[in-house]
Amino acid sequence: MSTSTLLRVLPAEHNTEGVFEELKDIQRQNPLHYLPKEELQRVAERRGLHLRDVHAIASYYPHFHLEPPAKVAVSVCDDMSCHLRGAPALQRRLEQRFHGASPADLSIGNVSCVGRCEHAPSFVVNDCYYDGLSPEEAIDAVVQTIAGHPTSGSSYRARAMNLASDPYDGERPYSVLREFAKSRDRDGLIAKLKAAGLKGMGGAGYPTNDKWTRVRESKSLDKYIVCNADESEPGTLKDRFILTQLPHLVIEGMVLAGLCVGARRGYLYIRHEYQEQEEILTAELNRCAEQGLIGEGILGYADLSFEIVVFVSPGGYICGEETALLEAIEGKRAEPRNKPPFVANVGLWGKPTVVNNVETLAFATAIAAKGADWWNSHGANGFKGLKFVGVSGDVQKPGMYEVPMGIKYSDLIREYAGGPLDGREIIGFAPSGPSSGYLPASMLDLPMDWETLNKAKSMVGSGAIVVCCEGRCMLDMALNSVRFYRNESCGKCVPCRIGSQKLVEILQRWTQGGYKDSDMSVVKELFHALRQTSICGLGQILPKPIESVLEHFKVEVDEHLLNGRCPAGVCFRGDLP
Amino acid sequence: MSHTGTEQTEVRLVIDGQSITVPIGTTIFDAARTHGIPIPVLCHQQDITPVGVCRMCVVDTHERAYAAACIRKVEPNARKAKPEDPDLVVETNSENVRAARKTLLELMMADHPTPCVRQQQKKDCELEGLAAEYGATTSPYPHRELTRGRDTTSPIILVDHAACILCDRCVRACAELRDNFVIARQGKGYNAGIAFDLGKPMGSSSCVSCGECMYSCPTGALTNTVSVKHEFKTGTPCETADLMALDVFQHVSGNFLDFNKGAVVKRHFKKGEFFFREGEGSSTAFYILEGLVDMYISTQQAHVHTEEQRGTFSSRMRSKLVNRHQHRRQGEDMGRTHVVVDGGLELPCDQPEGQRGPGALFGEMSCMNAHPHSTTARAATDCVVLEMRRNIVDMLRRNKTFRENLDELYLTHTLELHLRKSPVFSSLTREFIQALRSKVRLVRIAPGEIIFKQGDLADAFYLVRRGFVKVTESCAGGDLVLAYLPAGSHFGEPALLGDGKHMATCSALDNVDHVDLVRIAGEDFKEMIRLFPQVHAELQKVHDEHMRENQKRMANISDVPLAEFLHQGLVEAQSLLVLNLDNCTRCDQCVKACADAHDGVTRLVRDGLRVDNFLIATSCRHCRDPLCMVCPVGAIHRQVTLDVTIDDTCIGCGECAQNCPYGNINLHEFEVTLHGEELAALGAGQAHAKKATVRKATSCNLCNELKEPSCVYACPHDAAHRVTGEEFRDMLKK
Repeated sequence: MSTSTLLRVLPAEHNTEGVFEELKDIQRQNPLHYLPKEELQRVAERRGLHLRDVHAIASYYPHFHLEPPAKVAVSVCDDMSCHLRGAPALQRRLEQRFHGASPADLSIGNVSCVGRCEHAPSFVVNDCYYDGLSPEEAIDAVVQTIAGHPTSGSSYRARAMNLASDPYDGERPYSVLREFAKSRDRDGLIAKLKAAGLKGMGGAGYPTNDKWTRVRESKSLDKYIVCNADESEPGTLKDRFILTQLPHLVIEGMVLAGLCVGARRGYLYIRHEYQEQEEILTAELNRCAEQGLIGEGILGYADLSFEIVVFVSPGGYICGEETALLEAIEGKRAEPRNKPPFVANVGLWGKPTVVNNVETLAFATAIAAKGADWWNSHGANGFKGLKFVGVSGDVQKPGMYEVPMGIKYSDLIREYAGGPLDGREIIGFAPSGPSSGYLPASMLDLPMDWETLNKAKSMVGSGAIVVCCEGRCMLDMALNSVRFYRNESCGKCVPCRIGSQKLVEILQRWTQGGYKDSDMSVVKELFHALRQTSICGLGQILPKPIESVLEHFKVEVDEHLLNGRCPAGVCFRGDLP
Repeated sequence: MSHTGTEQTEVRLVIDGQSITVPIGTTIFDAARTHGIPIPVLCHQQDITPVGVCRMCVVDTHERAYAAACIRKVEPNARKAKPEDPDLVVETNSENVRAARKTLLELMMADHPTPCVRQQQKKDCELEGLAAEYGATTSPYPHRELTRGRDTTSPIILVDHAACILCDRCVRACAELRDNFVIARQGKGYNAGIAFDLGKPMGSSSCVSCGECMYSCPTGALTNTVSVKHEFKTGTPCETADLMALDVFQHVSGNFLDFNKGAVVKRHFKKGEFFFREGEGSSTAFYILEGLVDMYISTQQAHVHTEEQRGTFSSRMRSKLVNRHQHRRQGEDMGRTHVVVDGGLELPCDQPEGQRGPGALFGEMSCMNAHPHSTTARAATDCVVLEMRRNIVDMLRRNKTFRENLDELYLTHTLELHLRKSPVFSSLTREFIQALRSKVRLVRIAPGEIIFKQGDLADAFYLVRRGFVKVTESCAGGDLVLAYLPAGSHFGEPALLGDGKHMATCSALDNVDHVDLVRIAGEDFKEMIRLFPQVHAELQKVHDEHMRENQKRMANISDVPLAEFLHQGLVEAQSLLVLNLDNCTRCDQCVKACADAHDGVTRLVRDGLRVDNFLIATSCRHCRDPLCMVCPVGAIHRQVTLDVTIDDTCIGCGECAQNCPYGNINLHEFEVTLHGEELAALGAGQAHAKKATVRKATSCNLCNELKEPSCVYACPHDAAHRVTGEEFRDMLKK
């Protein structure tokens, strides 16, 4: 080594590993619940990091506080489903009730979707999650916390239920893995996934067998499997449900993927709001380790090894973008990478990586157990397979459902979710949260199918179905969705960082009577720039909610823009944020 | 598509209808650039890693979304329909692409404080420039409501966060170009910004004020508040605006030129006047504005001349009676020890070998190498030229297109001079050299990078075009430096003449700069010696001499603690201050003399490494392989003699001191009197002059204005000596 190399203190590649857990610990133990500069300096020294690098990450994730937060910090979710089900009223009530409280004692703000859309509205007090409470019950929860006796938040535990996608039904789980350890039939496994046409259930719908094959073909000695359990899109509930009900299928899917492509390590990346699921997974992983299903020498075969690390996200919707997620695991700011190179070639720590959604891995296990024919025997209206969907918003029975692919949205909402709320009429729905945009009621009879929805300029996505009934303003819903993206933009690239903010400001103006004739061409140019020039899917999909509303709800929008009137009576009230 | 063997090395792309073949992994931006297709960009700079965040360079690759040309590499397309199809089809300037760029500019302009400080001062805000080009000066978007504020705490840099477009150029410049790691992004989304350390004001952060961030900044977010006082003995200092109007400074930041005000002067030369003569040293280069300049090379007598002046330790001691400025010290000729100079054939002399006209740069090789000029430059007509310091040339060379132009010039003009300079190649014919021109490859070696290792199979012969090549031989205990080859030398031939294996390891000198080489492939070399037996004979002679030298050397070192010597870097030293402890009475006269010679601040500490009965005092060793020469303003440089000196343009950033492994460079505070302009820049506002302290790096300059180093002169006991590493080794043996 040359002298110059010795003289320079270059940060080792892995110095940031585990840095978020360290920061969380410091913040938890700090009496004022923040990260003082001296502590950050110590972290930097201990890890051989530059001060700027520690500051860069600590200031990036909203979970970390660089200044002491209020003693009681209340954050209300006002995204899609919560917005529909009373969040604005709840927040107004809280603000009225605690008006005049000192900022050091109490703060009331917003938090992005916390994944409890079926029990909307939800809010967080310090680190405790509440959902489904009335404004008065919410006030009580806050008062109790101020008094030092916080009530326990809502809980989410496994329930006894029969799911078609569980091949075990409680009997001899991990049979597929045991079988595979003997047969080593990698080609057979991938062929099954291909025959079943399994697609990425996180929303992108990329063929799973393709992802696995690419990484399998790589000659790299180090490869990784990452399970993306960072669902954060408003309306998405399925990963939490699957991790609660079917954790064994997800873990088995990860191990199968690992053994199939030749990876020895897997990361299960879970959002930090899912503490209960983290516990469930840890317990399940411990059981697996005891039975020799994971770790060194799986089931006694010295040549089969695979370990699984549960990685708790430091927070943020953008971490669900697969390259941002990898950046987070590497202990950096979760900013999406430019692609190509794709993660199958250059992924975690620069190595080939399979990134699969929770649902995809669970289904992969099911297909491996029961075969492609079994998978293809499910489905409706001539389409094949199963899908987990979360239905929220204006429906009688919001919740998680396992449904056949190809089911009509109208049937799904009626048969599973109990139909529209209070017998009202549905005016629009989002097939998959803000990313799918809003479709009009006239499209409710579309079958839930990837291609059909693509043709309708929407998508099946992650199956986060949000229903809007009469009385809702779709322009307001579009603003709500764009605002969510603005709040969650990482700020790396110009179009998304600045464009999202400007779009929110323009839409806000539209809902308050400030439309200008030149606006329409300006926003269309902006849509084009966002779609074409943003680095990642967040920026590219950002115009979708408003674009779809401009297309399908033109009459209502024009009422706002041209006549200064909100047909639903939601906008022009001046008191909305 | 071209294939070599079975492995594909190149890809073909079609950019705006033009078919272009480039090596695999070339970015779209570089492919376009090398073919003269302009792509606008804000976040990309050629000398730092691309990040693709401003998105201005987006191009349509007929995929789902546009690609950022700066970061998108062209790879073979496995899915193309026919083998003859291009791997990628790119539109850089379609209506849709231009529309997207215009929107991006409007978004940035909405929040930009137009005209920003940069635009007001230097008129080269890249954002405002592009916005004007795209008709995006007035943004249809609402302006940012809350301003992001200014940071005025740095003594030399004004930070206007409002003008920051988060391009990350400063972030990467700070880390990649200067190893400082002070600046990073902070926050998220629309509230993201740049921060210093843990979010401190720049002035109280660990920033060393090297200025690299503001040279990199495309807007008025980082601008200079003061200028370094460069001084030339002759010439008129140029106005920043005048320089920026010149083509050659197209890609250079106005911040840089303004900060280094006076580092470029305008000079007039009458017909027949000399710019410099062969063998002279200087740390400046010339750029021709008007007139013609003749370049001459004289005979090889210059070599004979310098060989005669090669001194040993004792001869140098004797020659102290001679004015220092006139005698050459040993350092200059090291590396030529193996070159046999025997006069050789006459080369045409006093005939210009080439002529340069307006827009040409000359003398830059010597300026960058700190090595004597290999040519004589004389005004063929009355001339107006710009004379510029090394750091200016350094900045120009960061631009790849500029470097490629220099390469082209080198091949057409200088390669021939280069070869003819060496007596070994004097028998080559002009026709042969012309034929060689298209076969040679110009290669760039990163500092410290190995060119080939001892024992490797030889496949090429090399000429050193710029920089220093270190020749080392492995022996028990470490690597022994055999030689430093300066520009104009050649290497690699012993293996080609001998058993085909390299006898030593050759690498680029550490940490100073890149080394530029001319690579002549083995078969071309063999063809050359077949056609020109005289060249063969000359090379063989050099080779034999080389072998004898080596044998002698190995015999010499066998009884010296070599490992220690290598480990402590002593072999690198050109001038160790060695105190013989048998004679030294610890009277400290050396330290006092040093302080007296340098305004009361000593540059030597009478303590340090002890070897036997010798103390190696803490004072600059003037390493051959200096690690300290990383100065952002070019204040630390080498004399012709390769002595290292720091001049008064030092801005006290401490880069050099940090890099010196021996602690021989120190930062001291000096009282200075500031005047109106500088005070205003610092935000002080007072009209009157004010005392202030500035930090400057100091190190031994061997008292170059005196006849000999004061420390040596002052020693009453003949205990203090300045010796080279080799000489010290000889002293130890005795």
